[in-house]
Amino acid sequence: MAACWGTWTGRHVLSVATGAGAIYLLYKTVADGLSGAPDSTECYRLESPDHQEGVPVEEVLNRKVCEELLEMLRVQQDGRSRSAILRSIARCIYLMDTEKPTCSPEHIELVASCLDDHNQDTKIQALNTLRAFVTRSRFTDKVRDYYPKILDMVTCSRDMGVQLAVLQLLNALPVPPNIEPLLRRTVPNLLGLLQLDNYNIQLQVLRLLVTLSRMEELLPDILNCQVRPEILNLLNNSQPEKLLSEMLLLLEVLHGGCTKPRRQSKSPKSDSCSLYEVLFGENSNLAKHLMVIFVHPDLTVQVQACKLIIKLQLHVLNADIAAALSKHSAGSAALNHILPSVKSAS
Amino acid sequence: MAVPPSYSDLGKSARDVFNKGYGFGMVKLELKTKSSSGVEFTATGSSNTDTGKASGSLETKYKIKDYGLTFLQKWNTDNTLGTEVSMEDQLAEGLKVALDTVFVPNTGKKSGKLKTSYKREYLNVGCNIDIDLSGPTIYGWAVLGYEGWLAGYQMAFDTAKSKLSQNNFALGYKAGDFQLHTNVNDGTEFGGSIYQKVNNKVETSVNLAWTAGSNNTRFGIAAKYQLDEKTSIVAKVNNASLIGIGYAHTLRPGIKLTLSGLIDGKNFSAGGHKVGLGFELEA
Repeated sequence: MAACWGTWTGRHVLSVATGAGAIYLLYKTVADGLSGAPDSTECYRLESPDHQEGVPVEEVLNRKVCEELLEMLRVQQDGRSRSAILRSIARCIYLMDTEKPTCSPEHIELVASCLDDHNQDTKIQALNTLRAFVTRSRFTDKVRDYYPKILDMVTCSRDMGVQLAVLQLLNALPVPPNIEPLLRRTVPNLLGLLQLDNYNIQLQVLRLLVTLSRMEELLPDILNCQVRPEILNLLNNSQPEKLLSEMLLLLEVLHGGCTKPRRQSKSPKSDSCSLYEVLFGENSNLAKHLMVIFVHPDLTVQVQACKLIIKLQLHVLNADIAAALSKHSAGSAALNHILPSVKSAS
Repeated sequence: MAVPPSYSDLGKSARDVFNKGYGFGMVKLELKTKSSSGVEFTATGSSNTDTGKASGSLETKYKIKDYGLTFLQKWNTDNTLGTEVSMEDQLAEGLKVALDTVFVPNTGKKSGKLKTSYKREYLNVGCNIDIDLSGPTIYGWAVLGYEGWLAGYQMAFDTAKSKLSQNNFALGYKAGDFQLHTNVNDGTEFGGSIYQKVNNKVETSVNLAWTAGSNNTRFGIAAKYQLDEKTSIVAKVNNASLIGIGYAHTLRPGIKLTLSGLIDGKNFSAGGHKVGLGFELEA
């Protein structure tokens, strides 16, 4: 009896002691938590995996990995490691499903700081990562702040991989305002890159030139750039259709810009080696090259070449009509009522 | 018309085809058990091959069905404790009220969210409030459904700044084997997805996203093929030429193995492609 009583009492005492200890620990944890001063006045919002409504676990984990990679980039100094981390960050961003990734503008600055790295591959991966950020609208403006620096890399870098990555990023970014002076200095370099025998670089340069040619402030500077007549050799049937298509689009935009009425100070100058003279001058071989392109097997290229030929011929015809009318006084009066394109053609 | 989904669940079928069954760059182990008293335990551990970091979490869930109460507690290796207490269909049929708190013992940081939602035929509305004494943020959403058509609105109002920080609309159509979902976020971000259950074995999904004023368009295609009742294959590709492949096989009831891989189609020779391994155990 006494032994049973001892066992029973011992078991209960143990249970009570354990329970009291657990309650005390719980009280201490809660009390310390409530009385502890947080590091900032902002409420800490933590979303652990499975805790975010409507967001799949894989997406949450992807975001978390992206944040961890950005933190690793901050401390990592080795060039090869940095380029591997940057590549992984770019992939995480491309894989993110939502428009609002958890990256912050400070992360953009961190990635942009890798543009100064000595390792060429790190520069390329930094540019590719910035291009990944540009696919998210909330980061576009922040990346655009680095447009002058990125544009400078076109002229400073001799590495083709870096040049290609720079051009791809410039094509993904909208052109910021008030940057025309810098663009004017860069345009000759871009036209120089067009003469390189590298299809990818040529394609990106053409796309960028199409964008810049649509800017009225830059068009005269583009047309006045000194180029070699061999630039027209790009128009041949051995070139891939994408390249030809972009080249024809550029010619169309340049021609369209030429035919618009503009102030005299903004008109292209007649210089024997200027792009304007090579493309649209009296001694230009553009028409001959276009006739060759006209029989390209790709239908889109044929249509574009045909459109451009017709526009060029119409322009010449308008010029002839304007010249003929201006010889007679009645014609001059009539010229004032004719479409501006005819007047500008004269 | 059945009860329409919540706003965050609009387009979920399409998203699931894109997200479930993958685990790139990760080795993951998940264990689910249930005690005889009805407490559910979920323990998860994962190791990231990119960062080399390992993380884990433990979740316990207990339901008191008579009172419509659910207790959910989570702890993870970031040392955060999450607790959620919810009550459903007690105050009113279709009404769910939940209090969600997060606490970090190391730093003493804490946050809370009061969540309410009400659903019934043709309607699903909800309102969440961040418990923040300096100025709570109010999240609200509403979804109307009629004859398969779904229309939703979601907003977030920051009371501290007196500003609407989120203004989203969604419109969709849901049929038995087909779902179309479109959305506009803050008037600038447009997105859409199409989900189709081609047959009992094949599901496909396409998604598109575009931002006004930008020439960047994101799109992706995904598919899931159920080889047999134990095996499924998933694949997806997006505009960045990232190709994802996943293979899931139920070795025996309660044991599931997932293998996945991510290939960078644009830089195939550069290497750095990812693989993933997942192991799920359920008792």
